[in-house]
Amino acid sequence: MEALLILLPISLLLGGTFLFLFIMNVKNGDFDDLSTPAKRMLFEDENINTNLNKKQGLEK
Amino acid sequence: MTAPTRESISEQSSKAMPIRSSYDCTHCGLSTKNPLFINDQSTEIAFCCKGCMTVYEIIKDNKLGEYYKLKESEPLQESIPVFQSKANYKHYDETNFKNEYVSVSEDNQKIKIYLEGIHCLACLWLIENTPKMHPGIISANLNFENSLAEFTMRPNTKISEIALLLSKLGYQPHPVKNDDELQSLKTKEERDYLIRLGIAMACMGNILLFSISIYAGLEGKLKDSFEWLSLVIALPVLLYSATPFYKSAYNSLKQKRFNIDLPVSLALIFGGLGGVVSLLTGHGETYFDSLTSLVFLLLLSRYALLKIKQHGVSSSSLEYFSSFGSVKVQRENGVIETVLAKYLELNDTILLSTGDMVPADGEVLQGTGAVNTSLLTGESNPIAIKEKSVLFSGTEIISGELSMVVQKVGNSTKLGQILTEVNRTKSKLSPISTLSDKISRYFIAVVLFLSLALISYFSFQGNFTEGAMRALTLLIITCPCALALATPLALASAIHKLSSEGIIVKSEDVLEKVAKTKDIYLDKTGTLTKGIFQVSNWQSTTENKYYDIVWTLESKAKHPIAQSLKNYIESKVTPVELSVENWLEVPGIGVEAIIDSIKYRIGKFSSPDPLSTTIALYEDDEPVLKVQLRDNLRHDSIESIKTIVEAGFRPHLISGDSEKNVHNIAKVLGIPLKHAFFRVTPKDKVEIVKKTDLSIMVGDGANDAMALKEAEVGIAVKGSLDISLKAADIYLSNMGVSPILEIIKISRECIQVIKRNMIFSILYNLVGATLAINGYLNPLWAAVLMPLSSFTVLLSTYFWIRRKN
Repeated sequence: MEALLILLPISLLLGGTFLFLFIMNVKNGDFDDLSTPAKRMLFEDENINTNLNKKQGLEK
Repeated sequence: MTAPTRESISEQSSKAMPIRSSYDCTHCGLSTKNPLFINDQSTEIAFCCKGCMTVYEIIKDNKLGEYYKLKESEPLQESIPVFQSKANYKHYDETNFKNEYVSVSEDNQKIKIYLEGIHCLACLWLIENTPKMHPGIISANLNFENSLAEFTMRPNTKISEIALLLSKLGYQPHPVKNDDELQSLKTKEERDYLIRLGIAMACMGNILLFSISIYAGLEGKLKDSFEWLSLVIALPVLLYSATPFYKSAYNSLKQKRFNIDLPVSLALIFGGLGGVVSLLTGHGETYFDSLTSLVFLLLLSRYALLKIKQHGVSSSSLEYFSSFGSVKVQRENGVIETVLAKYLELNDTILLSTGDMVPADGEVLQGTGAVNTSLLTGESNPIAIKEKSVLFSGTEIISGELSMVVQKVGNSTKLGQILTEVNRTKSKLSPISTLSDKISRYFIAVVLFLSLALISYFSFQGNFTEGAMRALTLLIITCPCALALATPLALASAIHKLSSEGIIVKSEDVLEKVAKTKDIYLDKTGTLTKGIFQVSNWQSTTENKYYDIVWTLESKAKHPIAQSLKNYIESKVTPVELSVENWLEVPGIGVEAIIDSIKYRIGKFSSPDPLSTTIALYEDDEPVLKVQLRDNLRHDSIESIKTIVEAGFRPHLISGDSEKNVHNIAKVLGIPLKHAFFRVTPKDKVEIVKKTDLSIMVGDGANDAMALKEAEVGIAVKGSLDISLKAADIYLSNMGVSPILEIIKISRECIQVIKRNMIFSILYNLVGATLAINGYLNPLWAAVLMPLSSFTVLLSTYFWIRRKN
């Protein structure tokens, strides 16, 4: 049973970390548009460049 | 002669055209009998119209042929022929406009544009490839769900050029106000919701892990520490994730009403406090697992509802449709400026030419021409104007060039008065308050009463804990969430379905009303008919079609029909201007000129059909070409009316046009003459519509606006004035009236689904309540079972959506 003393905090810490990451992602806007990126993925490769530019353009 | 129907018209035109039975438009896929061709490496490529051809050429010129490959991969999507707008969007470059719509930073400027007509993967691809077509665009980012595109442009890029490009591609651009605060507030709200959900899920998962060992029989110190840990983990859920429930319950109490968040909040507060008390005293149950599951599952089903509601064109996007024209103003020093119509001032001199909307009331100073007043009065015949004629805002110049002095602007114009009237009419209170709302309210009152009764009954017997537990179980299991979810969910799905058909619904309660109505009032001009005179028959006695000759003769003419003739010719061929001598326009008679030393004259030709006008081209006084023009019925009008009657509705025709015109159309449509109202003023329309309890009004013009507002359900068709859009509940963004059938069908199905969902959730709650009162369930079971009913409702609605798509 002493193992619990180590395992419990680890499990809570892990859970907490992922929850924190999730919250950061939501705040970043990664979940704002759930359907367009899925479609965008289907385009041919040459567009990857435009999409990269887009990201940079937005960050400015 | 009976008025020709659609069949006979297309028959006539196919006779005139060569040859193969039908072609599919390369751009939009529409099958057409009168294709236009371009030659590409000696193969002929067919198009249904000039608009589609232009788009094809732009796409090819920019080496973006990928578009058509993508389109092929989505064969199910329907598209419509491209409508090329004549607007030049110059006013988008004005400072006033920029301040309101463009956000400018040091090295770029951004604008959000709502694009009408986004419908498939290929559209997405095309929009996001606009940087390749215009050097000024740095990037384009389209949100497919709500058709909003954000363009990032280099500084000094003209917005008008971007708008023109988009409209050439076939997407009507509607710029969205640069309302950063509101926008970010909305986004923040959504993100908060997701975070609440995430926290609830993570905490619930961890608490359930502890609970398993407790349920498995954990005892002693470890059990205590697990329970304390559960409390700590449950706190973020109870204090943060669940706050929307507390807020909504508090608000409903303030309004002295019960809503479904009340029992939820009570269960959370008392369950939470009870758990803490049990922990402190060392005996009794803790319910943190049940409470967190409850919060998570409730949030989840509401999030699902939120997502369905957001899908497709949301009702709020209707705001983007308001148009704002620009107008040329001639200053005293002779300088001509382009100004947004809403910034016009009294006594400004404005210049108008063919195709312009008159932006204010005023008097013609110079020039002659013709106006189409159908949007304002319902009159379908063009009206000739000359110096001193009075022009009203909301009418359209269909031929001629003139200058006008502004005498009334804004609210004092005739159009403005109607608008004020529309706004003053109190927004309709829905007489059919949603049934489920009522049921839930009684239900909650009963449940609250029963819980109190349980507690007092068991306290009386000295067993308070048992009473509290049963009351908590009852509160949780009877939470009428499924009931509350059933209606909005089905309505939101219906709206989603309709929006994918190009039907934009402003408010949800409209659907319930549509399902109950019996009478449909349809405006004639612009709604059932196209509202403009168009060539319906071009009959030449020889092989020669005389396109160039007619175009040359009419190119300078000012009479109302000239523009219709020119439009028709330009849609057929690219006309060549011939050299003319002695060109002469005789008002009321026609035009004449000498071309190649032959005297040509265009003039009226007596016509037996009262609905149409026939003109003829005379070659040396010999008629060689007859052209029939009429305000055509829209292609789907006849069939739509037939189906509407079959669906059990009574269609009525209601028009400001003359008795002759209205009765003729009624006959063609098969509407009884007693149901055809003619020479109706806007006020009369309201009176007629008011007489029927539940009525649908379909219209487009300013003369329909008040009736649209007054009717139970107002439907504005494509091409409607802003004012009608404001007054209406539903906007059809595709041409024609056949979408009305879709609205009727989907509303009826939607009501069916609501009924099914409600019956299920009531049954479920009755069974659950009986079990809870008799003590067969504990709060955890209740917390798991309760949301299950919501999911059944979700599933039942989901299957309905899937089945039709």
